[in-house]
This record gives sequence, structure tokens and C-alpha cells, in this order.
Amino acid sequence: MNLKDFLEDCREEKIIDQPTVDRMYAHFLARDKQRSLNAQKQSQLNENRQNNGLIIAVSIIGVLLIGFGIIYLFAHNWDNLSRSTKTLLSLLPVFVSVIVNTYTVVKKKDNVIWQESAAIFSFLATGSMLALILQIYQLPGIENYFFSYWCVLCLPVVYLLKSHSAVFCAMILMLLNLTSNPMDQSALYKIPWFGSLIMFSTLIPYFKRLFTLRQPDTLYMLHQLFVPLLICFSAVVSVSGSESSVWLILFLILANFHLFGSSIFLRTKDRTPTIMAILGYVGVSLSLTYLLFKENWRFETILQVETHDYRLIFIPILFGLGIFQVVRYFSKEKISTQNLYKLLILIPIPFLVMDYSGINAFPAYQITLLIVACLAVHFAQNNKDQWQIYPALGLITVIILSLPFTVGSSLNFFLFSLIPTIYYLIPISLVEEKNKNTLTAGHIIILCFQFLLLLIASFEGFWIAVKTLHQTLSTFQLSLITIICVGIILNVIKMRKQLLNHVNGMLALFSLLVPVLIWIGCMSSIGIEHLYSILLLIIGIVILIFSAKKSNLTVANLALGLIGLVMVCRFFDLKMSLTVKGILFILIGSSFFFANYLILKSRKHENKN
Amino acid sequence: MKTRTKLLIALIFISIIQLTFPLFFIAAKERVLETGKEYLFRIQPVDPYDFFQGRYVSLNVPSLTYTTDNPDEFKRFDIVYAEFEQDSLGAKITHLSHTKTEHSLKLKLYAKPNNKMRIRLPFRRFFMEEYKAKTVEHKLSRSASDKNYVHVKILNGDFVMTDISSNGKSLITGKPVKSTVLLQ
Repeated sequence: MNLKDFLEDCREEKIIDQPTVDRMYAHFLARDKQRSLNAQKQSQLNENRQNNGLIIAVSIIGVLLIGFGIIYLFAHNWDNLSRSTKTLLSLLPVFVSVIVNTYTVVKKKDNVIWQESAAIFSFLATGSMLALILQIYQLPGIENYFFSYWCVLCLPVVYLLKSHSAVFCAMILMLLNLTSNPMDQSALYKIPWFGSLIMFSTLIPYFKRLFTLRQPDTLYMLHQLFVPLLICFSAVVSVSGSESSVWLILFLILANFHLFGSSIFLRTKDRTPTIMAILGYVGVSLSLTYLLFKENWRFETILQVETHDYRLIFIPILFGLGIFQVVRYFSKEKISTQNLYKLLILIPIPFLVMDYSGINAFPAYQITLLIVACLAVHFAQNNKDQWQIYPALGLITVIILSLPFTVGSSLNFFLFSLIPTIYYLIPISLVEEKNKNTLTAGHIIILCFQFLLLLIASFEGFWIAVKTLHQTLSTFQLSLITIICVGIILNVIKMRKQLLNHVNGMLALFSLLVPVLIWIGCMSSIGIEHLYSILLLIIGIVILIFSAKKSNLTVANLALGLIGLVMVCRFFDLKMSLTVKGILFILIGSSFFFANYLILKSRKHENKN
Repeated sequence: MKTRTKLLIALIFISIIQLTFPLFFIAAKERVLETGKEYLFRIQPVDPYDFFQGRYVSLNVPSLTYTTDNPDEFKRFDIVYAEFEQDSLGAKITHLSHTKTEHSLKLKLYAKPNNKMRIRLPFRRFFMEEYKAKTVEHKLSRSASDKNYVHVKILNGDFVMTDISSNGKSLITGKPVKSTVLLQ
């Protein structure tokens, strides 16, 4: 019923009288018209904005090209001119850019295209001017603070013209500034990184504005990525000292950025992690696992300072900042299983202290990291938080990978086989009820890895190679592996309902079977490699029958492919006569056709019914 | 005051800085050129390229040696001032100290100080026109017995390279060089 009919009905039922009906209908029409007008205006505005973005991008690229052209023109030398002419000529682009800037400020105050173009032109003009003057007096830029001068002279443009692209230019110059190597670095203010730091601090008001307004959207996202990357990269480039101190500084920077990215200032309303938080989290995890691959951390060398080595100032500052952020965060939020991982920044500290005082902290670190990751997985499963499950899984994976890295033992292959298993068994809590009979792309990748492991295990030569690894695991490493295995079993017990629910528990059973079989293979003295081929063949046949029943052609062909692959592998391996091998291949080939024919036939049959 | 006027004043201020900043630079270097003392250092060149500043001749200036009785005066990575004396084989260091004098050059000690110190000179790049750089390189590398020099003016620690010469002839202008030291 539309509004007119409804009003008519109301009038007939004597709820309202005729004039009211007329007035109500007129009002409805007026509102409707206004709404459609508004919508039209909005869509036009959106279109304009899109067009604007394109024009801005194109004009920025144009100005960049022109500017580089000018630099190229002048970067040629011009020996015939006198020094004063050269100087005047090199100042010319800056004159032009000053005129353009003034025109922009006076006449085109709110025109984004003018602002951005003028800013970039100003940057390039100043750069070419400085390059030319340094060239006239035969001064190499790298030894003469070329990038510092350039950046300092152009930084005001960021605020004067409210230009966003100028910020990127300035950031690139700050990074390039770190490559300069002036002769005299005896005072703090003469060191390139100090200059870059000061220049970066002048951009803080810009970033504060950008991060509070969160407008424009793209730049808000981009700078969440760019700022941490810039700072990490600068730290790596400019910190001189032992590897361990570079590690510590990087870790602290990334942890700080993670805390900042998830702070009240930056976080989104629905608490999905921001880009900065994700970047920080990934970086922190990577830097934590880095220590697993080094048995000698050598943190005792951290205080050995050369002259003009300022990194020791940064470590306490960054650490203090991190602690401040954690305290601030937990003063507003209650400690719960969801945000407990924020205390991550504190994890390495006891170990660093242990290593510094000469105690071997490596085993304690391994076991702590493992237990922390397992606990994180446990809580994240309860919260169904994929942003915590997968990073924690990544940590566990790297712990598993780091064990074979240090010891060449015959159990290494078993450890590898655990990885796809945990990737299926642990995130099972994320699988929703309605998807219980379907496999996601992730599941299929896991399955492929498991098939690959079994296929490798079915070679006789492989086991001969594995058994030659004579190093034995220490009791500590064995207990680590035991913890992982016990963890997996506990997880299976905990998640048994979901595991049995998903594809009738077939995948769970298979995931458990693969490591167990490989473990038996690693431990047994007799070769059981044929067991794996037989298992693969059985699985292939089971899937084939299953898919034939459901008349699914893709899966059927995949199963046939699996069977064929096993056969091809055996072709190189088994000592059979060529006739038998030939017959086997013909059988496999014809079975492909036969199976497809049968499935198509059954489909037709179903369609008729 | 309106925001636009404020912005305009700031802009004018910045523009003045942008335009005058290089003048200080130029003034300092011009002073060296005017009143500096010229020295000639032997070179062996190759020729690369700088993205921002163009083609240059890389000057392979051999390190100089300085003999001293008390090397404990200096530390590694110290900033020192060197005084020079010209002879027919290029300039030589006569005195090295921590104090600046009129015709001394600012240097960094890269090697560990000992009785016979090797001292690296800061003349590395000579910028010139794209095509000229190639011919200069060719001329310089033709014969090792040629007397190739870079001409440097030195004043109060600062320096400016003015010319490259080979056998008494400037490679920039092609004319014989004025310096009399060389022709002895």
C-alpha cells in the first residue's frame, strides 16, 4: 500500500479529515523531492571529489617531471659562463617558485592543485639551486649537508601551503640526509641523524592534526605505514654498534608504535587494529623470533661505546616511552585476556638482563616464548580473535622451525610435519557453523602441504638421508617438543566438538595421523616408506568415491591427480619391470577417463530425475 | 590580523631565507677564492656521475705522509689543521696541529696516528660539463708520467678547487696555468 492509498483508507475510516489528508500528502511530496535533490547533490559532490583527486595526481606528476627536467638541465655543467652568471641562473628557479608560492597564497588559497604543485615545485627548485651552488664551488653534496639544507629550507612549505605531498618529499630528504657523511662530526648538532630527528620533529604538528582529524582518509592510512617504516629504516641506517643493540632499538621502536597504534588516540571505534598496530605487532613478533636463531646474543657488548655513539641515550628513552604508554593504557582499561599481550614489551627484559650478566638465557627464553604463545592461543580461541590467533601461531611456527635450525637431528622432519597440523587444529574455533561442510582456501593449502610431506616421506632415499643426521636433541629440546605435542593434544581435547563437526572430523583425524606416522617413520629402524604411498593411495580412493557420490568433478580429478602423483613418484623409486610400470600408467590414465565418464553419466541421470 | 596576511608575511620571510641562504655560502667560498693561497696536489682520475649534481671527475688524490715525533698528540678521527708547502711533486704537509692558521686546511685523521702518518685529503670530486669530463678523464689517464694536478685554494681551514691541470695546461680552459711553482 502506498501513502496515498493509506491516507485515503484513514479518511474513509474517519481517523483523519480531508484537509489533513491533503496537507500530509503535500508534505510527503515536498520531503521526497528534497531528499532526491540532496542525494543528487551528494553524488555530484562525490564525482567532483574523484575528478579532483585525479587532477591533483596528474598535476603533481607533471610538476615533478618539470622540476626534474630543470634539475637535469642545470646538472649539466656550463663552464663557459662566469661564476656570477652561474649563481644568478641557479637562483632563478627559486625566484619563480617564490612567485608561484605568493600567487598561491594570495589568489588560490583553497585550491588544492595549486597548493600541492607549488609545494613540489618549491622543493625541486630549492634542491636544484643548492645542487648547483655546491657544484660551482666543487663541493660534493654528501660531505656538505646538502640534504639538510634542502629539507630545512623547504619544510615551512608544508605549513604555509598546507601541502600533503611536501611531507613525503621532506620525509624522503630526511632519509637521504642519513646517507651524508660530513667530515667533521665532533659535535652532536653536526651529526646527520640529529639533523634528521630535529627536522622530523617539525612535522609532528602536521601528523597530530592528521591523526586527530583522520582526514584525508588515504593519507591517514598511508602515514600510519610510512612513519614507522621511515623511523625503523632510519634507525637501522644510522645506529652504529653491535647487532644486539640495533636489535634492541628496533624492538623498542616497533613496540612503541604498536602501543601507539592501539592507543585511545588512534584506535577505531569497533577496535579493529589500525595499520600501525598491525605493523608494530608483526615487527615485534619478528624481532622476538630473531633471537631464537642465535644462541649467542652478546648483550654484554651493548655498553661498549665508541666516541660519538649516542644509541645508549635512545634505549632508555624508548623504553621509558613504552612503559609510559603501557601504564597509560592500563590506567584507562581493565586488564583482561584481550589486552594482556600489551605487556609484551616487558618479555625480553629479564632475558636481556640474564644475558648481560653472563647467564645463558637462551633456553629460558625459548620456553617462556612457547608458553606465552600457547597461552595467547588459548585465550584468543575463547575470544574468537583472529588478530591474536594467527600472530601467536606464527610465533609457535618459528619456534618449531628454530629447533632444526640449531640441531641436525632425525626428528626434524617430524617437527616440520607439525606445522600444517597446528594451522588446521588451532584456528578451528574461527570456523563458523554454517561453513562446517566446506573447505576454505586455507584448508586446501594445509591439505596440500600435508600431502607433500607424505609424498616426500614415501621416498626410500629420503629416509636414508634423514637417518644420517646423527646429532641428538638435548633433553631440554626434547621437553620443548613434548610441550608442543601435549599442547596439540590438549587443544584437540578442548576443541573436540568443533573438530568433529567440521567435515565429520575427517580433516582433524588426517591432521593428527600425518605427524604420528612421520614420527613412527623417524623412530623405527625398519623402512616403512611404502606405508605412506599406500596411505596416500587409500586417501585418494576415499576422496574419489566421496566425490563420485556427490558428483563433484573438480574434487574427483584432484583425487585422481593425487593417485597419479603417487604412481609417478614410485616410477622413480620401485624396482619393477618396465612392462608392469607401463601397464600401471595405462591403468591410471584410463581411470581418469572412466571416472569422469561415470560422474557425468550419474549427473545426467540425476538431472533426468 | 587576517590569516592570509599572516601567511603572506611568513611566506615572504621564508622566501628571503631561501634566497639569501646560498649567499652566505657563496660569500664564504668567494673569500677563499680571493685571499686563499693556491696549492697543487697530484691526482690520478676516473669519471663517474652524480644524480643531483651532474658529471664529475673523481680525483684520486694519493694520501700524503706526515712524519712526527710525538704521535700521541693526535687521536683517530680527530679534526686537525694542516699547513702545506709547494714543491715540484705537488704540495706536502709541513705542519699538523689542532689550531687553525691562515693557510691551513681542515682534515680528519682516518688512520691511527703513528710516527709516519698517512693523511687522506678531502678533494674527491671535480664537477664539469658532461662531455668535457670524459675528455679530461681520457687526457689524464693517458700517461702515468704526466704531471697532473688539482689546484686548490686554501684559507682558514676551508678550501675551493679551482682547476685541473696536466703538464702545465689547464684542462678546463685549455690555457697554460699561471702558477709558477709547477713550471720549475
